[in-house]
Amino acid sequence: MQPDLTPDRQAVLERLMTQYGTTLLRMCSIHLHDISLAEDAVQDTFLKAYKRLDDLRDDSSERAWLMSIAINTCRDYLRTAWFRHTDRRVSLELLPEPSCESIWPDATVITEVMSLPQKLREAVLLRYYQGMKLKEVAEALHISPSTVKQRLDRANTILRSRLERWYFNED
Amino acid sequence: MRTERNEFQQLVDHQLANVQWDHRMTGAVLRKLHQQEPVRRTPALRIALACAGVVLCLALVALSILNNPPAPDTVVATQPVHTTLVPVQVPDTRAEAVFQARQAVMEKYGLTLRTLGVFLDDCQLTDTGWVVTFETSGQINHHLAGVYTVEKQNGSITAAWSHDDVDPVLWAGGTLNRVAWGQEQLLYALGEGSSEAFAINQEINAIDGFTINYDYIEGTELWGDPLANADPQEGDIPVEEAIAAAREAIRQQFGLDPDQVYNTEGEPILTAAYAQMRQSASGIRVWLFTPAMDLPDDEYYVAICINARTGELERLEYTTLGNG
Repeated sequence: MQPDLTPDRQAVLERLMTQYGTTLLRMCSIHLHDISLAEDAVQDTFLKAYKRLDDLRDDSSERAWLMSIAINTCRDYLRTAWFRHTDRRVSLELLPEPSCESIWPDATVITEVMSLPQKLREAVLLRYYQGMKLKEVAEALHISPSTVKQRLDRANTILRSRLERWYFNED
Repeated sequence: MRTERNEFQQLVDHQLANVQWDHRMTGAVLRKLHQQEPVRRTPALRIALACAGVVLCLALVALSILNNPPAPDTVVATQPVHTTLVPVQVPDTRAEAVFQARQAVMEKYGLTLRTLGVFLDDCQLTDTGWVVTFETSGQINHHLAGVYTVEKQNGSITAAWSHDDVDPVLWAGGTLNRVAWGQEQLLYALGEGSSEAFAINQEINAIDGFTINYDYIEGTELWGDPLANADPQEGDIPVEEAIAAAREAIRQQFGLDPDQVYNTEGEPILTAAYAQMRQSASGIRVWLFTPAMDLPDDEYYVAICINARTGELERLEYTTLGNG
């Protein structure tokens, strides 16, 4: 189907890319464990978003809408045969070097988040990295807020067992 | 210690500080949008194609039986049916092609996900397969790292490196003081040798004449203090107005109609996608455009600063490759 390439729509897309590109790229990098693949996923996300711009209601959260598309795109990628047959466990050494010496006492928290089960990882990234409200996370994942809470609790339980001092504060 | 939400954000943003959405990616999205490229062939489509192939094969079997009906006294179950199963050729998607190409490079040249991660991939689908190239940008010099080209033709994959003709003795092992950078040099360049790699890249680029003096454009000499990335604010002129001012600057400087000028990739040179907002510590805000213009006599690398408050041209600098 021929996409509507009117300047207004394209301007919206360009704004979305400017506003959310980096945060989406980082979230997808953690979710997919692969930065190059995350670039593909985020590009796909924006192309899908462009085609669905009419679905974006004025009263809905633009960010939640975009994150929902991104999460679903990542799910598609994670379902591919390449992923199923490839060890996707990634350690921090495969991530780009931080721009300067780490000030963090223990950066393995990212690795541990990466190793969470997919459903828990999605909830953690949206809630704690994107800073979305429970209701927004629920909308993005198409589940109830109570299910989101359950998943976050389970993620916290796992993280507590693996990380001595780090866990998320959901109170 | 409990991890608050913003701490996790800071941690991720710190660890992934080098992971940035940039104008290259924006340009890729816009190109795909205009080229009508399929985003990704869905698994459902592939399954449908595979099913269609199976149905085709079954139809061939059925036709074979109909055209050669068994004799009435023949037991059908013992009658061998000779037919040819036609393999279903499902073309790779771009993503699949890049996956396979990455694996081919890693297997043949020993690169890892980390070192291959500094290469940008470009995939061209062909009638018989695809060609994927990997080339670096940014801090790893592309001349030294070379270009990896992986080609799939009729199911056969071959990988090549632009430094294949260089004696491995000249690049295997050791430091960055080599004519070509393989896995070991890349790994070093991404780690403790990152400053050295950056300096080498700068030096080579300066020799190439590829880089405009961005230090000057964004540096203290012009503004009194360095320019930093900034977000558009209320009171800034819209990017469209800045583009119009930049167009006028191009017209006056080069005597050209910007609409008739394209960059080295054949795209329009001034679009919102390539607009960057900068602000000096003293509060001067500018829209910065850095188009590359492919003109008949040479390639021009231009930097245009439009005052984000007044819409006036603050600065226009350019350099050429010196081909003219």
